[in-house]
Amino acid sequence: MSEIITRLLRRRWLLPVATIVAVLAIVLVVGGALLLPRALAAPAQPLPFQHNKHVAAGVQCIFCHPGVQTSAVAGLPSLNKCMGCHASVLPKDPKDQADANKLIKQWESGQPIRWVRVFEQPDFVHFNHRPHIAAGVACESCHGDIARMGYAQPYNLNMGFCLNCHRKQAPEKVTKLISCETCHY
Amino acid sequence: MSQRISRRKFIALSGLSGAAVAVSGCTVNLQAPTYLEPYVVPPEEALPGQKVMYASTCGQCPAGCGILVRVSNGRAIKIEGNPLHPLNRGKTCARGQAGLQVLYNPDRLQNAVRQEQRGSKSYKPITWEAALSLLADRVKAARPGGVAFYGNLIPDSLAAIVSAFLKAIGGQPPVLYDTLATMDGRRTLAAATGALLGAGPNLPMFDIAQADVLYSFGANFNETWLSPVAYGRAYGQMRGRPLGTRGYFVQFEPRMSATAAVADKWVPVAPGTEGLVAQALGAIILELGLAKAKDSPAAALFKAVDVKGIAGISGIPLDQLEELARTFARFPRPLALPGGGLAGHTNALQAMTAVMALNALMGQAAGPDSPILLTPAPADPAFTSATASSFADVRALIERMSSGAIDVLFVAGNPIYELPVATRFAEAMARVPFVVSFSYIVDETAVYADLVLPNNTYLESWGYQVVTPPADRPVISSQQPVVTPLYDTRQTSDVFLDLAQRVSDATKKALPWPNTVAFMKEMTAKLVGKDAVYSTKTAENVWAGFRQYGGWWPQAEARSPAKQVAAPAGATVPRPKPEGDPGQYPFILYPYPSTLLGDGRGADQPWLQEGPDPITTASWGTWVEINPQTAAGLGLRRDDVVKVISPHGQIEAIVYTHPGIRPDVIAIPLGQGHANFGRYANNRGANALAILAPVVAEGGDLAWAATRVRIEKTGRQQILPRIENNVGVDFANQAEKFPG
Repeated sequence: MSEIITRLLRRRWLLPVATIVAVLAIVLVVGGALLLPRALAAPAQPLPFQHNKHVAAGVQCIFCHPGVQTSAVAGLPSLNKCMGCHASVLPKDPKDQADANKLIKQWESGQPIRWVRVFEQPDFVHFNHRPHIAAGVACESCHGDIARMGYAQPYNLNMGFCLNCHRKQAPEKVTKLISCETCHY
Repeated sequence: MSQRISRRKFIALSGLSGAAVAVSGCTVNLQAPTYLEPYVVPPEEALPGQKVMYASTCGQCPAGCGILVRVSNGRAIKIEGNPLHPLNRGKTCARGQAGLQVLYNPDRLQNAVRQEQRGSKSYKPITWEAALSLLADRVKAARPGGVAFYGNLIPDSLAAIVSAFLKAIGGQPPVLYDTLATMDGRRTLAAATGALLGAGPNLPMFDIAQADVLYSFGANFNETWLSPVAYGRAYGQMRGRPLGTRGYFVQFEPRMSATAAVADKWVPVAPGTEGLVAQALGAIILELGLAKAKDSPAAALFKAVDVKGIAGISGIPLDQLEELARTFARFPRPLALPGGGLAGHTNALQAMTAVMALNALMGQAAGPDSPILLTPAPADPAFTSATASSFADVRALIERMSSGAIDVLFVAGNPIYELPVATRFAEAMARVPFVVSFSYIVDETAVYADLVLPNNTYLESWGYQVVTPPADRPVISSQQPVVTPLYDTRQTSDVFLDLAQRVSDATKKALPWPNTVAFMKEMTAKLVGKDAVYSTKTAENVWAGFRQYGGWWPQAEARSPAKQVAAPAGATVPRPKPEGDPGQYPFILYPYPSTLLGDGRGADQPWLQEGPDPITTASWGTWVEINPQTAAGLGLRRDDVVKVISPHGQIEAIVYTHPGIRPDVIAIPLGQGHANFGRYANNRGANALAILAPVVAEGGDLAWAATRVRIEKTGRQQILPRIENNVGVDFANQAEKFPG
């Protein structure tokens, strides 16, 4: 064994190659470590919004995102819907009124809010909320504990995450649920 | 570079730059964020991520096909045909499909603009309030009869509002000139049909689906003629019948169009002699005793015909004429189409009358089984279909403009592009003190307008279209906005309704509606109680069904054939008289509307620009089709750039040698040669309409194929973008491309 190593070490080309490989590996690991939290960080949003305060006030997810019951996408509430409450309801904490005023200003401008998308799937995946909600999957099982978040935080929704749950379903459903074309079509 | 970089240094440098890339990669975003813009106030029917389909009417040509537009989250994303619509039965043409690019054209005007100096292209934004009050002042200050309107075949709702407005201020009726309508021969065909089959002008629909033998005289019905989608569908039915009953189809045309290319036989008749050929065929049929209605009053047209002389000038030998006549008379249901090609010559009216009379001679023009369907009486007299104005009307308008009689000119078309330069429209317009354009994009005419009030595109507008020529039943096609207007534009009918409130008591009284929707509600209320595919019990029912189904039409087929044939007015078809000295200008110029770009209105849509022409496979340019013999005689080769010179001007185009054209004719597609029509259209190809002689045909239309031209080499070459191989269909370049 040691003989092989010493023989290899004698080869002059090996050192630069090994160095390059080592440097690349370090770049990947360090870069990945730096970038992953960035990928999973909440992006900056145009208006202050706090999910936690809304949940604490007793608003159900489905009240603002009713699309999950009928459609592939959840949808974001229209300004009209926001104002349905904020036109007459004051925040519990008076300090939050400054944030609510920003919303009222936006409503008065008549311009839609340009939210930055948080949960994004690649084009080759088809995801549909409706069957998941119909099957009784709770929102937080995929979106995390939104009730404790301000802005929605990204959640690592990769294929392993989906399959992990799909495999645990009733045996007669699993074949279909883990078949490629269920999501990739 | 005298300084040398050592190997070691090179590796060090490349390592450093790699590290720099890696570090900078950490500071930029992983990917550009995508945005979610929820509605401010969502429409009731909108569900996030779910499509909504809106029924409306296509605005890409005057035919009036029904469309369904798929809208998702407030954005129009696909146009398809409306399967319930009796005209197009769910089909659309390429132009209909490309309509989204009208809506999303990046060069659209986004607000009303004012131009201090005409042609300067320095537009200043103006608020709608300021623009309308300025316009109202101008209209109020105009002399009686000093306000004129020039438009294309605009939607019938707009035509009704504009006509009422002009009438209320004592102006002349709007001039609605349309190049496509001219090239279809709409007016002349209506006049010929009206004279022979019914009182007054009447645009017919030919039921080609039932024909055993179809002789089309210059009707390119598979491309642009009248309702190409309806005809294309009927053509498929005629040719799709089982063997033995499948229709036989002959096309008489100087150039092989895409319609001629699918015919059983293409007869390259000399331009302008199509009507004479029809007369000769009738005379032979009559002489051979094959006429089924030899006592028809129309038979008078086929007596004392110089068949031999016609054979000489049309280029069809006598024996071929006889064979064609025998074939036509052999089957129970022959049908001859007086196509748009006939309208291009000085003898347009007589030629179309002769072709219609040929149908009468075979007993096909009148009676319950007739394949010629006249325009039925409107569902209500208020629903009138706007008729195209004649070229004579246009010249009269130009005359009034240049004499200084017009104070305010409204333009809802592009006359500077579409009228021959020889009409001197641009010079006449310079003498009008105030010009308003309604173009949605800065076009050639809007450049010389004082005020541009951009119209909504047809996907953002309200309106209706009385479908003419009709389908197998009367149809009023509805138009509704499928999206909220993208920009601060206003539909022209709303502008006129607003203007009416400002100008005088007479206009207020004539146009009492606050907007087009109120006008349409009142109009559709007239359909209460009429048979429809939905309930018409109350005005609300009609208004809902009218928008939901895409219009109004009766449930059952209601064919409207002529009852009897009248005696034709003229005795014989005169010979065509093209302008220009044959010695100096040896060729007849045969311009034709592009299947994709139409008369040039489609040039701002890149999907239509890049679509290949069905015959030449060329795109993105203007070519001139020349017979290989002619080209060889002139020493021209494919892709040579040549000058096409008429007595009224010259243009440059790329040579396309093609055996499917007569040696004495050259053909140029329309559509290109825009100076101002957005980024996709500008400075591409040439406009053959510009060099036409302003010859008025019998019937009052522009004789668009009555100009003689000559061809001159420029010595330059430019490769025409096309998808066929470079050998070409005529193998002209074979020796060059594949030597040996």
